[in-house]
Amino acid sequence: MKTLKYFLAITIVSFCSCKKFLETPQTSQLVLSAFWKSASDAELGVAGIYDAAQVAFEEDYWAWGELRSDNFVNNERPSANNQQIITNQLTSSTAGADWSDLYKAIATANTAIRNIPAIPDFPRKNQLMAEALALRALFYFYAVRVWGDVPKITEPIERLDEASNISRSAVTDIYKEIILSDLAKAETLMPTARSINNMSSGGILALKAHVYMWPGTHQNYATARDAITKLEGLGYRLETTPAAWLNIFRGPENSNEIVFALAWNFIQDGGNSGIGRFSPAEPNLVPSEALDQKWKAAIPGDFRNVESGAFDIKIVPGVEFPYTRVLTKYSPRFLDRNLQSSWGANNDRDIIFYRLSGLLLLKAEAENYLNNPSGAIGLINRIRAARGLPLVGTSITDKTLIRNLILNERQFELMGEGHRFWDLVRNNVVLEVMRPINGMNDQKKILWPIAQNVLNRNAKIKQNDGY
Amino acid sequence: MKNDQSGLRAFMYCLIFLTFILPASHLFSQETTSLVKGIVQTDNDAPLTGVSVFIRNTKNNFTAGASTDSSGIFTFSRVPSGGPYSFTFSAVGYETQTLAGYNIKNDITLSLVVKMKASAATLDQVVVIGYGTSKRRNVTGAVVSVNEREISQRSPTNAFEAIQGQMAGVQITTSSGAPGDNAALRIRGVSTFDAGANPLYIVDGQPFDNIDNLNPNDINSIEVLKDGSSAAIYGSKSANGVVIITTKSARKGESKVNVSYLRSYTKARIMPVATTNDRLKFEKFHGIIGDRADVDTFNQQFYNNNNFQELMYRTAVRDQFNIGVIAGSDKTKIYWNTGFLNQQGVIRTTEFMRINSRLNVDHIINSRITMGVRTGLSYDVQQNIDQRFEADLIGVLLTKAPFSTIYDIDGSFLINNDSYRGRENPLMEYSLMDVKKRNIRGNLFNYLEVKILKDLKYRANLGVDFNYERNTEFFPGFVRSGSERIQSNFYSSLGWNWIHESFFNYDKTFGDHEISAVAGFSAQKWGQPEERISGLLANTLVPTLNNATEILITNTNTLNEDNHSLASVFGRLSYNYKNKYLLSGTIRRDGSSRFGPENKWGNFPSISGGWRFSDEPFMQKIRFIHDAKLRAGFAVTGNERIGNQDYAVQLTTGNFYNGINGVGLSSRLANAAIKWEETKQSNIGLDLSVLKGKLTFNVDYYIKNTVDLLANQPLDAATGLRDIRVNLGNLRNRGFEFAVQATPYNRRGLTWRTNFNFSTNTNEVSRLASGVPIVTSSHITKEGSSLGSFYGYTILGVFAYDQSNAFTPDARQLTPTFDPAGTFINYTLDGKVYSGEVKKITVVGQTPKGGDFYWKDNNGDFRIDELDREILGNPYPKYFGGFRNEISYKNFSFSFLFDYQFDVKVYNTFMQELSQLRQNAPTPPKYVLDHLWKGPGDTDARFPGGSRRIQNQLGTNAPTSYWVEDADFIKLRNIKLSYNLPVNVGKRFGVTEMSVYGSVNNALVWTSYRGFDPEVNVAGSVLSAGVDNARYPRGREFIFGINVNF
Repeated sequence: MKTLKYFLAITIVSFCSCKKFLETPQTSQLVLSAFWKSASDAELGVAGIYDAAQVAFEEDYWAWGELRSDNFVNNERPSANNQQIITNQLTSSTAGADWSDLYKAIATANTAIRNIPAIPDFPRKNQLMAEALALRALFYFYAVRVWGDVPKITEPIERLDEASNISRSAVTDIYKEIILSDLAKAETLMPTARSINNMSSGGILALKAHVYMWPGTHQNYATARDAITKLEGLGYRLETTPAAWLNIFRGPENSNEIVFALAWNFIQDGGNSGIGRFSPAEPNLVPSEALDQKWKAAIPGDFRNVESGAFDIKIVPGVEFPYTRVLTKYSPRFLDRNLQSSWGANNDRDIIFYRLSGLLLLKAEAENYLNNPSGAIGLINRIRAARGLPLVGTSITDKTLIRNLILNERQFELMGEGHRFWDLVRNNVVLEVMRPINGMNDQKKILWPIAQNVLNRNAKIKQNDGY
Repeated sequence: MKNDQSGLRAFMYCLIFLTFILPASHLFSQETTSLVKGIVQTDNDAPLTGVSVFIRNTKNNFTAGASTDSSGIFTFSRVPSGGPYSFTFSAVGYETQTLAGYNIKNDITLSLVVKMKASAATLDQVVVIGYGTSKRRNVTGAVVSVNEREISQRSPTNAFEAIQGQMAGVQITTSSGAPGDNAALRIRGVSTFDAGANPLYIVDGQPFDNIDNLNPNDINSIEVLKDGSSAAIYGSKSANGVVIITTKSARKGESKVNVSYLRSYTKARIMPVATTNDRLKFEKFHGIIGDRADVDTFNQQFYNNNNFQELMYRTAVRDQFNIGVIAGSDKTKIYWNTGFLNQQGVIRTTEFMRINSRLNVDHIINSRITMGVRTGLSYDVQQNIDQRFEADLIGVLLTKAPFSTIYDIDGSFLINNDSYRGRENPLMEYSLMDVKKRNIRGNLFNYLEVKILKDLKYRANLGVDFNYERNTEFFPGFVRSGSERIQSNFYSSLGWNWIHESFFNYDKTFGDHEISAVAGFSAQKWGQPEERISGLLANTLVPTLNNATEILITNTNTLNEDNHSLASVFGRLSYNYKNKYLLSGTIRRDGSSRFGPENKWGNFPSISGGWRFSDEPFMQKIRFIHDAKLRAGFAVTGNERIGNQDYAVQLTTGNFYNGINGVGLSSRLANAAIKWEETKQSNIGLDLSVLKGKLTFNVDYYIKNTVDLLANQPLDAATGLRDIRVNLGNLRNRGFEFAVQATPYNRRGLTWRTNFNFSTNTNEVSRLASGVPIVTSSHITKEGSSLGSFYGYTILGVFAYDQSNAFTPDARQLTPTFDPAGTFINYTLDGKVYSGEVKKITVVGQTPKGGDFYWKDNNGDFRIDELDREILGNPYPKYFGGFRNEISYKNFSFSFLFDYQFDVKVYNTFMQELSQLRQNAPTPPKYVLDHLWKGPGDTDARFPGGSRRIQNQLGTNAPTSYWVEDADFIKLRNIKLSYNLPVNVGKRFGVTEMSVYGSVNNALVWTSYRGFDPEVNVAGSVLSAGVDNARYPRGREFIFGINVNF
């Protein structure tokens, strides 16, 4: 009976401690309530925004800005998704139509923007706050250009009732209330002039210029021009040799010409599959032949042009496989197909958002629209001179001709950097250029469709016109 | 690296040797004074083996036990004279008999001849139910059991193989033929989406999530609690059913040493593949990869015609050895068994080894207190077996160009450039890589039982289970791709859990009334800390991280996330009147650390009743009915296998940017109200026994309604969050089960026993969170249809001509007509010339021509896209079951076991992938090559013409109707012939019982399925089951074994 009493005692004790017994905290997980307390938390939280940006841009940066343009064509065996983008057959299931990843980056930024001010003052507080604001502006700038009206979310969501369905806000509101105001705040707070892989004054000014160049009620060429002029004063330099120019992309990726690049590290982030798709291994994407010809005609012997050469794939009969051009900006051309394929999967090239050369050409665009043709030509020739290429004649004054000259120069200089489609849209020539290539003839199709995945999850979101 | 295993193997052979030469009989022989012996037979004089005989002196309470040998003979060698003695004879399937009033005189041998009557089937059999036992006669739920003999039918290596096909409503699918691989057990279908569909396992009272390491030799019986009313006493873990396993223990007076050994040889099935000739033809169409000779040349290489399967497979040997001691005295019962298993895989360099040891001890301290322990230990090693590589490897074996070279002239491996599927030389690869999974598992379970009053017992259980896993992987650079780096991965985890249970049993009979009650509580806690580390190595000289140049941080982490705890109180009350009217109710209240603060505790009640109408007066005239009982029950059961922290807002680490390990948001929103899934189960059944128990039927019908289904409710994408875990959604399973056991013939020493079972199951999703279908690349789960159905495109055939892609606006296909020169003239519709608008189907911007697939355009927009996907079938069988027969004559016994499944589909993704006909593609299966489009006018073709590069223009992983195949099968799982040595022969060698047998596993398969095997894994996510991505092949196994008792 003694034993029985002993066990009964255990029984009673066990019951008393039941509430505590049912709590099993996880030591390897971080809970929200324990975070955003210190300076180092802020550093980690802001790094989290960049990481979310990597996810959002890894593939879609190219889908949005590059593949819809006249730069690349499909080979015989395209991925269905590339096929849809390049042939202008976007559907609600095309990858790139889904804003979930971009909005996750926005949510991460929202959390930082809400929580950093409450952390007791520390030296890098303004820096981190400015980075978070600038990144949020960047994300929304992409959102409005890809989908037009988008939901306006600026606060973190922590409970189900806050996550109830949110409708789309007008593009003008997004510019006014988020993009422009975030940029203005970021510009004032930002203490750092230049930083390649983080937002700095340079990055903020570049984004600001880009935003003010973009059509809309806020468009202002002078502001854009002034922002780039201010940026030029921060110490960026154009590379002057072909080898140095190539090193911007192939590494060490620390050129003085880069204004903002999203860093990539294989060990930490895995391969950059977006850039990997330019690898000619499969090959999935082939630089367009028309572009090659236009380029050769415009600037004979330009070292920036895509390379031609055969793959180690023998075809019987040979006519079936005419694609022999490769974008070698990011990768060397391998003779061994396996090595090439491995590079595609294992590369960790940074995504370069803004470079000085691109920004100077953007400024040229502004000068042209501000009726300063010689200023515009001068800027083109600054690039040509730095690259050691023949200069453009200064006698041209026709606005359209200069616009086309700038567009071409941007296309050559920024091939494969995710800008060409935006350039066409910004200058309102997208239908003109793309109609002969993929039959794009509908202004409404400039915007992307909204993914079925997004529509399913919020009944208030309606599909874009044209889809 | 393999030395540890070969050492163990040598040790095992030593043990086998020692055991057989040891004069075991001398060790256990005893002096005799007065002898009682006898023979036990059936009513038709056949000897009965394994009858337990119990002798008791009614005056001084002297007791002893024994059991009969294969000749039906039992012996008590030292019985004190006096008396009166009573003898009790009991055996499964026979009525217990007691002979009383024997007085034994000194030095006089008493001889008995006893005839046992077959009992009314198994009605008096004791069935283990939750926290107690019950007579089969009084069971009101749906409980099915298998005994030792049925378990040993297939000479299994694990408990799942042991019961496959033997229980109605229980479907077991082994995932592959890899040695050491486990299986999925599904009871009455699947009643969850992603909370885990495995049942709860209870081994001797200790709960487990899996029983992979259990030695089937240790199992005495397996009971499956299928319906809610019998399972509900396990509360929030019971919704998927409960499997109760009882390990062996000694009987009073028993004393024996058991040794068994088997050896088997397994051969894998060789699939027909393309020959060199076929491959060359294929390459003529598709071009060549790499700097290789043109197919049209007389290059010597093309004289090679390797069959890679034959090179990679081998006849695999299995050795399995067990040695055990079973001894029972008045006060102490001991069961000890150690088993060794060494099993080669049919793929070279793959191997599995396991050692188990079990010690079960029960001791009666005094008339009130009993204590006992159940200890199980196991260690196992799996060599080079990993699902991640199997599909690739098997793909290479089937598709690598047969003229590819493997060995250099000097016998060393050759890396060749024909890198179809990125694998240069599979033989080399498997000989270089070293993937090892080691597992040490132990469980200790103690109990104490105190008899407080005559009818009231108290029992306390304390159990600990731990499981240490260590996986090491070493890949020299060559493995997987010529350019990959040298890599080593390490993983280890320590899973542990403990349980404490205390409960009271009260059993009382007042006249015709019988009451049985249980009440108690339990507490259980789990944890599983784990580490993972990966590194790139400088070279292959040292395969560990001492040689590392870089640690791969994205694959390096330490987790401690699996902590969780469960506290419960439970009770049961059963009542019966004259064994005729039966009523039982249970209740359990569970609190779990997994449940959100708003739903910390849940209640799980059940009620069931039975009516033995065969005992009613009006039934007495119906003579042929021996026993008949109607059963019905209802219960609320739960599934608590949800996330551990679904209720708390989580942040994530590992969001690296530029050297900083950033903190990011979880894509899931926390839900403070998260709780268990609740399944309401109703069961109605009939047990019928006719012709004096020679024929019994069990019929059951059930409905399982799962409500509060755990689901991921998608959130507005603009929140940046993916979903929230909610209890929302309904799923209904319904089914019918039918089982017959019969002894059609039992005369003159010849006995034929047979049992057959048949089950149906259908399920329907009646409500989904937000109504949004769950669509994966190959499956869909949507309201109004079965869960996890295949979802893809239908192919109607191949366009015979370029002009065949022509339709009327209302989607009727037009027939093109041609002049004798082959020039297109016009279209006809129903024999008349058609001049209206002609519509053409487009696929991703392209217009299919002659020799391209004719896809079904479901929405009539002439554009094949996502919206044209439809349900192509379901991976869960509608009908399944098994059929077992055993015929014994004198010392011989012959048995065989079939199982089958019908109305089931498998997505043969492996074959679909192989028949893409891409430019750098592997050789398609022979079946595809034989049915390619040959040119305009080929109306019989099933696959696109050879020069079409992409067969699946949609470029999706979605299934096509071609490769969602019928996976119906009937398998002859096993045939077994065994011979029992006559006792008088064995006695000369000190052997009391000995049997030898030969057996064949996986003897025959009848199926129309084109892949390796229609039995395809249903483990993993229940929403995307039935995908055949080429797993380790199953082989036909020939077994020879011997079993000896000393």
